[in-house]
Amino acid sequence: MKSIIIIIIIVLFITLKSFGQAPHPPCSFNSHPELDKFVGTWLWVLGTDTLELKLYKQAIHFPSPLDYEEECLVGWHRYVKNSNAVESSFQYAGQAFFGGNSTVFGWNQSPIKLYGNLNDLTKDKHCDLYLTMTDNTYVQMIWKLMESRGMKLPNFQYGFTLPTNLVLTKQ
Amino acid sequence: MNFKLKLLNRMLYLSLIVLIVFAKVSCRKIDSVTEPIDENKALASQFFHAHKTENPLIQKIIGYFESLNKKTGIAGKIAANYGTPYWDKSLLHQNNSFLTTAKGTVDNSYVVVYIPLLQSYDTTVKSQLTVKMTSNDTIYEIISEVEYANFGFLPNDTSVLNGLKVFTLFAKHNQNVFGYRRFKILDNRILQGQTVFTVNSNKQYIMELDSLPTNISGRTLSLAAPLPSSSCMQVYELQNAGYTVVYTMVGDVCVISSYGLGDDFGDGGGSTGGGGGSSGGGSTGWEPFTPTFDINNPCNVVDSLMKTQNFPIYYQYLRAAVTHNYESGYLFKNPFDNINTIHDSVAGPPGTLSISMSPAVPIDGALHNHYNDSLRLPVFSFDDFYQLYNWYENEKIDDTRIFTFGMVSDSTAYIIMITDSIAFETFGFNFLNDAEKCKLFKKVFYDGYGINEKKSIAENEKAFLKALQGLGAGISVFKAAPDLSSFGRIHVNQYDQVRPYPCN
Repeated sequence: MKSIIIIIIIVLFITLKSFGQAPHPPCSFNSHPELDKFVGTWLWVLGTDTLELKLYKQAIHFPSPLDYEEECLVGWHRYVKNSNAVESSFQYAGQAFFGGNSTVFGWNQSPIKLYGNLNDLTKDKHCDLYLTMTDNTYVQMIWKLMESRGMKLPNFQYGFTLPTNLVLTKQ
Repeated sequence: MNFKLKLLNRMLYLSLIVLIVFAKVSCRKIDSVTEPIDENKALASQFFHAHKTENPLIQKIIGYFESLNKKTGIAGKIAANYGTPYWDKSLLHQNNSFLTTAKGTVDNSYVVVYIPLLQSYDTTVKSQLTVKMTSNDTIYEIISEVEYANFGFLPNDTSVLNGLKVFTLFAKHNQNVFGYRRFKILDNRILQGQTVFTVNSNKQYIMELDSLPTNISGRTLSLAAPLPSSSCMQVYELQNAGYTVVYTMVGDVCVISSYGLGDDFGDGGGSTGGGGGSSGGGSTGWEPFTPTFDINNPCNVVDSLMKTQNFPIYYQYLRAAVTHNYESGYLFKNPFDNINTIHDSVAGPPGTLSISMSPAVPIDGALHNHYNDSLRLPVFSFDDFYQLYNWYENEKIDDTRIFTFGMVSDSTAYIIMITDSIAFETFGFNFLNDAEKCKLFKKVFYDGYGINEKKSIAENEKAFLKALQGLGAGISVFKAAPDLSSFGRIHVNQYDQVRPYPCN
């Protein structure tokens, strides 16, 4: 009897606390089926230049005090210029997010637009990445890279190793 | 008996399941609310519901305004232009009297309630709502502190306001809301409203209130003015804090003519307050007197920084520089030493919405601006936080008690201070200390809490505060007044409203 009352109080406390401050309740699972259209292998080709992406949907645990799970897009990239490999994280493709050295990470801004992060391995920095479906066949999407907003660390390298505007095709 | 216990147990289990389901559904509902809110309705709701009290007189006044609001929408207008009423900090002045006239005895009793009005960035009370209720009428008026001279300075014994009584009201409001007890008089004409002592127009007066509450649930307000402190306690406090104090006693009145390093207020209120005096517009005739610099009080630190020679200018300059197409910033050290303050100005690359700031030595503060661009944020960005944590980890912050981290846009300015280092370290460990955790924080910041350039300033401000509070970042946030003249600490309260959050 006492234990039931204690459980009720704890549930109420957690519930009320989560109302105010967290994006999702603790211990919840937050699925995003709208990410499915981005999942797969994507390719851009221009002469001897190629950019490949391998994108996966993964359920990720967000650390304390959030303590919820949410589906996000996790990916890896390979960039070849003039037939020479410039940078690649493909050797890790498909691994779990934590410890998986992913270089693409994102979430839906709208059903057809994804916003997130691209790791520029050569310049050792993260950039803002926007992926937008060109139409509702979901076989092509626009890739747009931008400098992330905000203050930068010492020796920050401006500019991009990868192309900033292109169209990827689903394989 | 046994059957009843089993039934009770089953009912409790059932209640538990219902509660869990309710919690889940409710959380999701709150998460998915995206409908636009009518700004005036939201302000009106704040007007009536923020800082409310069950006091019957206040309830009667709220009822009066609810009725008026249906016809005129006055509540939202007052909240937008003057601030939200702090009903629970109202002052009450009563007069029970009867007039004998040729037609007989007339009830001349009235009640006047003075309600402080505050914007979320206010650090002092600047306006009040005055409601006068008689047996057959209710009228209201809004008075701003800068209007004190319009009421004249002559002593009077009636209910009519004069400059001294207006000062008394605002001093009491400031005591009730912010805890200020002492006020430096900037316009000595205010003191002409009393007849206890002769006012020396060339001297500085400090007015001290008693420490007993006078709000709606406490004593009834007496409009008799507080007298300047007779104990000279502030002199001892100043001396203990290391200030050099020059003072004299005029009768029982303690008159401080100067204190501190170069902070000689010489001729005092007689001349400095003149601007607000004759016309009653533009400046106030008093200000809170808080000379004892408490390094452990972040509000006191920010207030003190705003009184230094350089610190306010950095913010003014960066506000003016938002029209450039690059970010600008300052790193600084020794901000309290007006002569030996060191600063380094920095500019970011054009068109990048970013700036690289690299202190060579531990510093006391930094600030940067977000220039006018459709993608700019009115609050700090995720990368700004990463920078702050990086400086903290690499010992580029000399003393967190005085270190300020600021940002300025065309219409906002904020300062953040690390006020709980242990919480900040935990927050940093959870969200900023490796590449993967940074990705998660970036998502939580921009997506989970919804901070983005498409939202309004108010929405971003609330989301930003909720992010810091929800993640237990150990950070205090100070918001600037629109003219950058002051910063006040703010937070999101339990009713999901952005409100002042005084340090004492």
